[in-house]
Amino acid sequence: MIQFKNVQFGYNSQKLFVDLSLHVEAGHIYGLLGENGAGKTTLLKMIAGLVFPKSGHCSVLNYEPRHRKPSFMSQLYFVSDEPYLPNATARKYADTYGVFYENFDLALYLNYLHEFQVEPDQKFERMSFGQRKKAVISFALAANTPLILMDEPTNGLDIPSKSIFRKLVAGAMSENRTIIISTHQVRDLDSLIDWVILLHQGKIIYQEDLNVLAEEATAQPNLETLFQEVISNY
Amino acid sequence: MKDTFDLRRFGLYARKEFSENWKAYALSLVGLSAIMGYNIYQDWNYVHSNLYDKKYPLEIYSYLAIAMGPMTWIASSYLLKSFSNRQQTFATLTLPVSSFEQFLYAWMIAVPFATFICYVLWKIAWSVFLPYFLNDIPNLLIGNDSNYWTGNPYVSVFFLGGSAIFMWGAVTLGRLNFLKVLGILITVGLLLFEWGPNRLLKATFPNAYHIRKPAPAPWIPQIVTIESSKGVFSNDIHSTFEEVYQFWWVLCVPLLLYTITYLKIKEKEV
Amino acid sequence: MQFHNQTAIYLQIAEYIGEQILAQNWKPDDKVPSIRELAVQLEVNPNTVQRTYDFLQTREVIYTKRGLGYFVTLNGETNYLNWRREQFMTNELPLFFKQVSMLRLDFEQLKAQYEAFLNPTQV
Repeated sequence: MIQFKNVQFGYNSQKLFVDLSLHVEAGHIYGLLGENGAGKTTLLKMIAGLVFPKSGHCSVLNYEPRHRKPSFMSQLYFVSDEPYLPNATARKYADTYGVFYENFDLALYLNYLHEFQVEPDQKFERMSFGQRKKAVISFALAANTPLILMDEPTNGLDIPSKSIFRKLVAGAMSENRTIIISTHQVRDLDSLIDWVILLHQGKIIYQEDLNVLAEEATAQPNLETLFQEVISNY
Repeated sequence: MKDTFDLRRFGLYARKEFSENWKAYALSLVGLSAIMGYNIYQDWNYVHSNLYDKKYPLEIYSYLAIAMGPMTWIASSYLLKSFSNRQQTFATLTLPVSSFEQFLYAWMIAVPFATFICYVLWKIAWSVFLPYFLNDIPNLLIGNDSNYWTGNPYVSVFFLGGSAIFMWGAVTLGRLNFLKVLGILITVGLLLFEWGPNRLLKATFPNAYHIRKPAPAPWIPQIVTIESSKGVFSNDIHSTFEEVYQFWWVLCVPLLLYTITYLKIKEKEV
Repeated sequence: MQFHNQTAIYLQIAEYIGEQILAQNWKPDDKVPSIRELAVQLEVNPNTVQRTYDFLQTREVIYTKRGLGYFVTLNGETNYLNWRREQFMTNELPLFFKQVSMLRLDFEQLKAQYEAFLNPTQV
C-alpha cells in the first residue's frame, strides 16, 4: 500500500534521500529505525504529503501524497513528535476534528482517554506534554484510518502509559490497518513491531519481517543488536 | 468524496475555524467599534469648533472606506495565520480539507464578510449618533457621495489588492508577516512614488531650478511642474491607472495575487 | 510479559499458553483467549499471536471452531509437554551437559540433588 521508487530528496542543497525505494504492505506494525538525522521524520512526512520528492515516484494507498487530496488525507493520521493542539478540551477536540474522518469512533476515543487516564473535559493548555500526547494517540487510534504514522509516540510517556500504549495499539490492529512507528525507544516497542525498516545514508538498507527472522534464527532478534549489526556491515 | 470542494466538509471546516478563532473575531469587532467611536467623537468636536465651515458637508462615508481597508488587511493576515508557523502549518496540512476550501474560507471572511460587518457597524454607529449631530446643527450637510468613497477603483485596489497581498504574505513570509508586508508596501510605495520619480526627474532635467511633483497618492492628479531657464513646464503625467488599464490594477492584480497565494498553499511543505 | 531473546517471541507466547494448560487453568475443551485478547494482555503484535496459535494448532495443543474461537485439545497437555521436551532436549540440555562436563561434576551427585529437589522434606 506504500510504494516509493527511486526517491531523491534533500533540504536546500543537502541530499537526504538518494535513490530511496520502499515497499510497505497493509496489516503490520512497522518500526522505522535510523540514526539521528537519517531522515525518519522526513520519510514519514513524505508519506503524508508534507514534503515532496525532488524526483522519483511515491504512492500511498494508490494516491500521490503530494496532492494532499482530502479523500487521501482522511485515510491517514500523523501523530507528530510535538503535536499542535488548539485551545480546547479533549472532548471538544474530537467533536470538532473527528468529523473529518469518516470512521471516527467517539466512544472508542473516550475509552482510550479513560485507559490513558486523560481527563476529557480538561483543556489541552492545562495538560502536561505527556497527557496531550496521549490524547492525540487516542484520537489517532479512534479515527480508524487505514494508515497511522507515529513519530516517537512513547517519547514523553511515563512507564505505565507506555504499557497502555502497547495494549491499545495491539488491540487496534487488524489486517486492514498499517501503523508505521519511527522510534529510538526500541525497547518500548519491540514486542509490538513485526516488521523493521532501517533508514541509513539516504536509503532503506534493510527491511525484514521479524517473525520470519525469529523462526530462521530460532531466537528473537534483539532490535538494538540488529540495528548495530546492519549499520556496521553496510 | 469531491476533492476540491465539498459543501458539507467546507461547513465543518468553517465551524472548526470559527470555534477556534471566535475570540479574535469578537476582539476585532470591539476594535473596529472603538475606532469608529473615536472618529465620530473627532467629528463631533470638529462640527462644534470654530473651524467648521457650514458649507462643507460631513463626509461620513469616508470612515467606511477607511475602516474597510485595514480591517480586510488584518483579517487577511490573521485568517491564514495557520500557515505562518511550523507547528500549526503541520496541523493544517494534515487536515482532510482541500487547499481551495482553506483559501476560500479565509477569503470569504477577510473580504466579503469583513466588509459586511464593517458596513453594519458603521450603519449602526451613524444611525445612533447622527440624530445628535442634527439636533445640534440642524443645517448640517451630510456627504452622500457613497460612490466616491466606496465605489471607485482606488478603493478596490486598496482593499481587494491589499487583502491579496496580506494573504500572500501570511502564507509566504512566516512570523510577523503583517508587519513585513506593511514594510514592503511602504518601502515599495516610497520607491515608486517618491524616491524613484524624484531621481528620475532630476536625471532627466538636470538644469531645472525647481521641480514640483505632487504627493504620492494615486488619486491626486499627477501634474509635474518644472521651472528652468527655458520657462515653466507643467503637464499631466499619464499612468497605467487610467481608463482601460484600470481593469488590470483593480481586477487582474488581486486575482493574480489570490491565485499565487492559493498555489503557495497547495505547494506548501513543512 | 517480559520477553527475552533466547527464543522467538511467538514461541515464548506458546510456552505461556502451555504453562496455563499445565497448571490446569485451561482444561481440555476450555476456550482460550482470542488472538486479539491475548495480544492486548501480553502487549504484543496480533500477527505474532497468530503465529503462536498457528504453531500450537499444528502441534495439536489447541484447535479452532469456526467463528467460535480457539480451544484446548483433549491431549493438549500431553502434546504441549512433548513439544517442550523436544525443545529441552535440543536446546537447553546440551548447554547443561556442557556445564556439567566443564565443571567435572559426577552424574550420580546430580541424581542425588535431583531427588532432594523433588522431595524437599527428606534431609
